[in-house]
Amino acid sequence: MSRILTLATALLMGLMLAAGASAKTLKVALVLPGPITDGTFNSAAHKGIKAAEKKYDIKVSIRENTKFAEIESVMRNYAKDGYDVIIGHGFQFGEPAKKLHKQFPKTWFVVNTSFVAAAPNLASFDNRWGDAGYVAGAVAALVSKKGIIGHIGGIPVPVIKAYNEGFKRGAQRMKPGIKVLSAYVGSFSDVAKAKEITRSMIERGADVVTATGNESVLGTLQAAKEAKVMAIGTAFDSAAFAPDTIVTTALVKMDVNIDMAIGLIVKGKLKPKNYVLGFNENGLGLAPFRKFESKLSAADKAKIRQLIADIKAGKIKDLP
Amino acid sequence: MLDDIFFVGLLASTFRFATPIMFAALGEAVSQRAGVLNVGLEGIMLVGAFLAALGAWWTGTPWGGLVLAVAGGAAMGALHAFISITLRADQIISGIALIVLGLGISGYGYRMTLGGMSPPPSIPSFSPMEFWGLSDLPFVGPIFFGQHILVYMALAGAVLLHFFLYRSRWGLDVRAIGQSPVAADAVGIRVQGTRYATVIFGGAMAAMGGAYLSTAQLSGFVENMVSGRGFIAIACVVFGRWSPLGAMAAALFFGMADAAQIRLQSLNPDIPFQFFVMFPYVLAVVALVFMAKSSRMPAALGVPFQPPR
Repeated sequence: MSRILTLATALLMGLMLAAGASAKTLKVALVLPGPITDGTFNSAAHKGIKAAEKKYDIKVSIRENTKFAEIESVMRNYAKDGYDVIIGHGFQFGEPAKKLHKQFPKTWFVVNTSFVAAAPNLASFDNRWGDAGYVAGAVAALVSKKGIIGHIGGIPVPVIKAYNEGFKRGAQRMKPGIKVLSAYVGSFSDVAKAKEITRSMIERGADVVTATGNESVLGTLQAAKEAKVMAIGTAFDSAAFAPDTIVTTALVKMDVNIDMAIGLIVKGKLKPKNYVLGFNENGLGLAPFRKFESKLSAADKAKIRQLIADIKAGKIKDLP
Repeated sequence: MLDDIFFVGLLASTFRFATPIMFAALGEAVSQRAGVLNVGLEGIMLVGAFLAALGAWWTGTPWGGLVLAVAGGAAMGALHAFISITLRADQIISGIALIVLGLGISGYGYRMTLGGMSPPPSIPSFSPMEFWGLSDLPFVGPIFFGQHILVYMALAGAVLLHFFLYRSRWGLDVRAIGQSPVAADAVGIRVQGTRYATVIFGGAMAAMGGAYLSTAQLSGFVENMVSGRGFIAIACVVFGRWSPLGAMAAALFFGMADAAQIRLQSLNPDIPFQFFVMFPYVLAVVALVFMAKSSRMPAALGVPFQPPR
């Protein structure tokens, strides 16, 4: 009797071990700086993780509204809880990840919009925000009638600065001498202040505006909608929010970053390096013009298509 | 560049920046005068902003939203009152709990209701006033006659509350309780009841500040939209030396500093933006240095009262 029991136990344990080895569900944590409802930076990441959840055998935990001071402890707790992948969504996650990654060698740390990769387990993904800004600036310059356009940034972290610079240069390329206003909110979430800044630019004559940040972007869109001026969206296609205002969106495809990171980890092929995604890597894009399709001339649309083709071919020399 | 467009825009924007802070600061001034500190204004404003958007959508008018916001703010004030007055717990801890609670309730509530709708619902909001065309007057029109009705309510509220605190019997009671609840109790003033009333009032006012953000300045709720205005409001109470007119002036001062910095920023792209963003706060520190000496803090602020029974 006891021998049978021992045998059964041994068999059972063997089965359990085998099951554990063959189908290990990856535990993935996505740590966001803002809420998933911001219609831009965080919404884009949320879309990406939801798609990945369907595609791969992963269990996802999402932490929203993570303040600067909390980042390190949030990431540390996920690592302690045995998460296999921790994705920090934003430049500000870079330094804490650098500090932590060596202490948790079994966990992959992935940071978006930064350049902090380090062996053996810290990878970073960056999109060419400067190129996105360049195209947004070009579109804004082409649709502007008054020759004044504006960018309202959240906090000037490197990707937002790059977008700002690209926006200026892209606009100058299409219409030399165009006036480009620029100001920062000093916060990613202060939607009312972003709206006030946008209003002040519209008072100054701006008739096309664009914004980068988190919730702050909604303030710019609302000000543009009320004043009946045009806006260029960023990162996430939220045209439904203001279909008569948003000309197009300079897409920054965070969902592609996240899919790529998780896909590579599942295959065991992620390297501790900086992955940079541009138009060629499907990390950037331009949303359809929709209601503005008929308002843009065929020549202007051709110019925009040509510009993107030139960026892909590496022919544009003044990209930030 | 410092032309008419600049100054008209600046002054009109000053009132818009100042109003949400002013509502919260006026309510806080009254409750601090009665001796109860509420550092949770930020959370109450968030709940107010959310409920105003929800109520406006529900009833089809921003006034419905305002009523719901005031009710919610009063409820949060009552919670703070219960914890800090009846249970005599630490007021700062209770206030911090309100901040976290407000963030959670507003964010979760929003996603359960408006945030989950596709396409996003349009929220009825207050239109700017016109005063029979006066808002079209050059220069003064947009500044004084083209604001939302809540702006005028906040300014009128400051005057009324000033009168209430310094010229009425109830105001005298409130001030007495804030100075010495024991003495006030000895002469027959209902200390606990009055404190409850002021804290509930403070919550309702903070919620109106939130309602201004979501149904006047913007139309619609956005998570975290209060963005620190609740803390600035507490600072305004101190700068205003615990008087309603002082709190109003402090809120306008902050509003103007912000309205100026966002304009100067885009006119001076070569100066680092941090300089402009910190500008209102630098002014605050400087003002505090000069005013610290003559501070008139209520003597019993933050001290729970134990009725001698």
